[in-house]
Amino acid sequence: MGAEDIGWGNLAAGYVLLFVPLLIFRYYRTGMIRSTLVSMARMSVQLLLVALYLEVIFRLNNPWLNTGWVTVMILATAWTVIGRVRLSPRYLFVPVFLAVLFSLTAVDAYLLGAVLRLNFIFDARYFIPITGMLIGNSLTAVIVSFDSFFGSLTRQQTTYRFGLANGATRQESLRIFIREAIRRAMNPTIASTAVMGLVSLPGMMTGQILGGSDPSVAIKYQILIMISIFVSTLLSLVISLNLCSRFVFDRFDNLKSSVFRR
Amino acid sequence: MIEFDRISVRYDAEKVLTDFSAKIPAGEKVVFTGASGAGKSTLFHALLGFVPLSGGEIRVDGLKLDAGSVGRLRSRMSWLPQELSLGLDTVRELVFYPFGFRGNRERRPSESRVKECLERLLLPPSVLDKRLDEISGGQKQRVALASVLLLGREIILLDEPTSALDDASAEAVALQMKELEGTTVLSVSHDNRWAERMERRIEIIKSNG
Repeated sequence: MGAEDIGWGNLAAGYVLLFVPLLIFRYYRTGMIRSTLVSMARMSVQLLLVALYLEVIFRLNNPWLNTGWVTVMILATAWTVIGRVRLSPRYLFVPVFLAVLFSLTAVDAYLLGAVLRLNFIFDARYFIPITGMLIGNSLTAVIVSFDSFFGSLTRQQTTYRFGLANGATRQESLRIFIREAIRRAMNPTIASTAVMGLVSLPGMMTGQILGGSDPSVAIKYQILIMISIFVSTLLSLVISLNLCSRFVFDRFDNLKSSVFRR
Repeated sequence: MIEFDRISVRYDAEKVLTDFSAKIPAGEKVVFTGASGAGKSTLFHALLGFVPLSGGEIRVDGLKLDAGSVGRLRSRMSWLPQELSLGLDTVRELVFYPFGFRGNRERRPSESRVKECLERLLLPPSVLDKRLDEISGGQKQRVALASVLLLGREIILLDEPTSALDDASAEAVALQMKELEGTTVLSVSHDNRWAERMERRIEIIKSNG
């Protein structure tokens, strides 16, 4: 049993809801009408395209194709992180890419291979949506952690230098900033995990139930997904920060000014 | 011996220090004075390798400061900046903060030595058990100073060490510095009373442009 299909006419009717925010934006002259229309249009086109290629990917179910697709998603993640934090791709693209790749490989291998015990861990039905969710959450956390890390390192240069001038190695001096970045990036995940099921119903579980799964099965998947998101998010940001801190300092341990895009 | 040999520092187009020279023998207690923006703090940043020199050389006992030697030279110094925010909660955490670094662990002082040091800076030993938000700015400055002193380095750099201190506390701090035989103490200060208590005063003239 699957969810009832939605006719194209009915889907179009769904867009009618958008008149409400558009009218509110217009009344208050927020200047957000254009960006809203663009973002809604982009979302619609992107998802329709996703549906098309997912159909192909699911039909072929080829491990190379599936892995290739996930690699493209990780590359896009690394690129998005660099774009959002206004840092030079030269120093950060490779560390972020490698960090996310390693985290996902480790967590996917454990979850799909050891926990779910799939015979074929690259099975598109599991591998692609689960990895996609892990990537999406890691992306947000890595952006927040980079914002925090480079922002506080710039604002509190004296704190960093105090460590260096009083016997700390660079990594020891940076620990205070990495700790703060972890706190800022992980706190929202901890908070949303704590209220899951009470004030929010997660998308994956809702999707499974709509798709005809038993709620008790959907919940077990959701629990495993939440744990996996937590672990892969933390691994991604800690590895990203530690790897990139090897490239962004000069031989005197000073942050290179070329790290920041003008 | 610390030698500043015609050093120049510039931030983008702005000259902060131009052709500055000075020789400081080991064990001397020196204060650098000068107008705001003359480059007094920059001098410390240059000595610690935090800003690149646009000209000249810095040598410590003949060893030139460069990327290869900066770690060795830093390990002979300790530095107290004018303002410090480490996000710590208690006085004890602040005192022992540098001793958490691997290179300083063997130097971790005993509780009694810390209390003795605090007392010499006119702080009651009980301050060690207080939270940082329970003590005054002047007390905080002396606690941070105690932490730097306890490291026992041969070169101590102090940036405006008396900015939050009353006269009696400033006197006690100056006395501590004088008693550090063989330790070179370089300070930057606007405080005339402090400058008078140091062995030598070096005026830094503001660069033009």
